[in-house]
Amino acid sequence: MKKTILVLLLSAAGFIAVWRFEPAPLASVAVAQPRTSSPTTSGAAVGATEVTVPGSVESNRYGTVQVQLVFTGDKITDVQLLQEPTSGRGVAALPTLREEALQAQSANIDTVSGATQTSESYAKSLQAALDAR
Amino acid sequence: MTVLLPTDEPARPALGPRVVARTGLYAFLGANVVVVTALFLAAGPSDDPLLTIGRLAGLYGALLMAFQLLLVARVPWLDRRLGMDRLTTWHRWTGFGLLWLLVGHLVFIVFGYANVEGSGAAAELVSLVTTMEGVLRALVAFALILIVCTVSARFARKRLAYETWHFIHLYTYAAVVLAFSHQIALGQTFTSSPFARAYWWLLWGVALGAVLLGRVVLPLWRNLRHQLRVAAVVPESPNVVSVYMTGKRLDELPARAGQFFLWRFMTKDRWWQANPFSLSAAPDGKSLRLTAKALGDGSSGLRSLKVGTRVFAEGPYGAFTTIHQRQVNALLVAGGVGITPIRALLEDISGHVVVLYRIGSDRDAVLLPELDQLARARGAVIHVLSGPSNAAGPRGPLLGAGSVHAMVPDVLERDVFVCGPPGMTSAVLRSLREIGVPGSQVHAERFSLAG
Repeated sequence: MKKTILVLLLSAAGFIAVWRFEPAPLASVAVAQPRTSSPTTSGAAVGATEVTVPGSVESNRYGTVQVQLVFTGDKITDVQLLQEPTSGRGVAALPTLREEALQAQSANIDTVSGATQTSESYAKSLQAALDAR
Repeated sequence: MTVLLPTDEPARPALGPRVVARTGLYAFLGANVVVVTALFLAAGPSDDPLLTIGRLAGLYGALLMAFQLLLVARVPWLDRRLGMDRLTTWHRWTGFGLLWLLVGHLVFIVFGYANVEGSGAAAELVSLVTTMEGVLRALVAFALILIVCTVSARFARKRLAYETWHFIHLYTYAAVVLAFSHQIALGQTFTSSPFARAYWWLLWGVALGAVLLGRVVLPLWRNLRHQLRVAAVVPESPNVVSVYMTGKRLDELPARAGQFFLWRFMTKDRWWQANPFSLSAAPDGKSLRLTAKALGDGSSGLRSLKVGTRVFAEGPYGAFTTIHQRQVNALLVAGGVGITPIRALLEDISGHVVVLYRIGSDRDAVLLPELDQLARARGAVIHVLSGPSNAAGPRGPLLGAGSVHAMVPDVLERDVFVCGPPGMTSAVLRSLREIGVPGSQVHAERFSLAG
C-alpha cells in the first residue's frame, strides 16, 4: 500500500514536470538590410512611386517574423523581411510565403506545412502592414 | 425421443445481437477512418513523403487509441452483445496494431524532419523535443504505452498479479491526456481547421465519456442503489463455496442468468481485489448468488466472509445469456466450476435442454443436487462425464465430435452454450465445428479477466 502511494506521488510529480516543460524558442535576428530577393523589373508601373510599409513584429516559438511591404501604386511588388527566424523549419518556408503573398496580394495565404507557426506570424505581420497603409 | 416444443416462443430478430454489435463497431471505426482521412487530405500532404506517412500513422494511431477506450469502456449495450472476453481480445489485438502505428509515427516523423533539415535522426529528435511544444509530452506518452504493451505481452502478463498489471495499465490514461494535448497543439490536420479540432474533441469526449460512464458512474450508481451485503456463505464442496447476497431494489438490477459481476468484498484486507464470478442462480429479484472455486487468492478467502459484509459489485457483464438464443432448443456444456453460469442458464433458457457436465472426479460435481432437481422440473437431460482428461468413451474423447453427436443427435438444431476451463472450451468448440454447428449458434465464454 505504501509503495503504491509512493509510486503514485512520483508519477504525479513526473506528469506535472512533463506538462510544464517549455521548449526554448529558436533565436531570431533582426535583418540589418532589408532583403530583396530579386530586383524587380520596373516595367509594370512606370512613374508610380514605391512605398514601403513595415508590418507588426510577430513572435512564436520558432522565432520572430516582421515583414515590410513594398507597394508600387496599389500593388504589392515585394515582401521584405525586417526580422526572421535563423534556423528551424520556418526558414525554408519564407520564400514560399513571399511567393504566396505576392500572388494573393493580401494576407490571405496558405499555411506552409511544417511551418505552421511561422506561416501564421508571417500572415499576421503582413495584415498589419496592409492595415497600416 | 419426442420433445414437445413450446409454441409461445418470442419472435427473434433476423440478425443476431452479436452481428448487430460487431457491425456497429466496424461501422463506427470505418466512418471515423473516412473522416480522419478526409480531414488529413483537406489539410494537405507534406512536401516530404516521410512526413506524410508519419502524420497518417499518427492520425490512425490516435484514432485506434480512442477506439481502444471504447472497447474496454464496459458500455452495457456492447457488453451484453459481444461479451467482455471477446471485447478484451479485440482490445488486445488492436493494442498491438496501435503500437506499430505509433512506432511508425515516431520513426517517420523524426527521419522526415531529419531529411528536411539535413541533420541526423538523433540530433533531430533532440531538436524536436527541445524546440517544439508538445513533443516531450508525446514522447512520454509513447514510453508509457510501450511499457503498458510490454507488460501485456503473454510472457510478462503471466508473471504479474492481475492487480499489478491493472495498476500499470491505468497509466494509459496519463498517456492519453499527454498524447491528446500533443495532437491538438501540433497536429497539422487540427491546427489548420477549427472543424477538425471540434471533431477531435468530440471523438475523445465520446471515448473518455464512455469509459467514465461504464467504469465509474454506472458502477457507483448501481452500488449506491442496491447496497449489496453478504447474507450467507455456504460450502458446496471442499474447495467450492457459494455466497448469497441481498440488497435493495434488486428486481430493478438488469442482471440475467449467465452473467457475471466483478465482486469486491469490502473487508479491510481484500477490498482492493475484484474477482469475476458468475451468478450461479438466475436473479430472482430478491437475492444474488455466486459460486466460486478456490483458485486464486480471491476465491479461497471467500469461505471466511462474514454475514453482513458490504459488497461492491461491478456489473452485470457478459454476453452468455439467452438473448443470443437462435434456436428453439439448447445444449449446455459445462466444465468444472464453469457449471455456475450454466446452472443459472438452465433456469432461464427456453425449449428442451441437454446439459453435458464435464468433471475431473465425482468430488468436483458441485451443485449437482439442485441441477437434478431443476432438470426434473423442466424435463431437461443431464449427462455427467467424469474421468481424467485423456479418458475416452466408446466414440473417442468424452467431448469429441463423435461422443457429442451420439449424446445429442439433434445438436445441429440447438444453440450450444459452453463454459469451462480454456482447454476444455477449445476442445468443445473444435468438436462443434467438426459436427458442423453454425458459428451463430455457438456461445462460449472464456472465464478469466483481461490478459
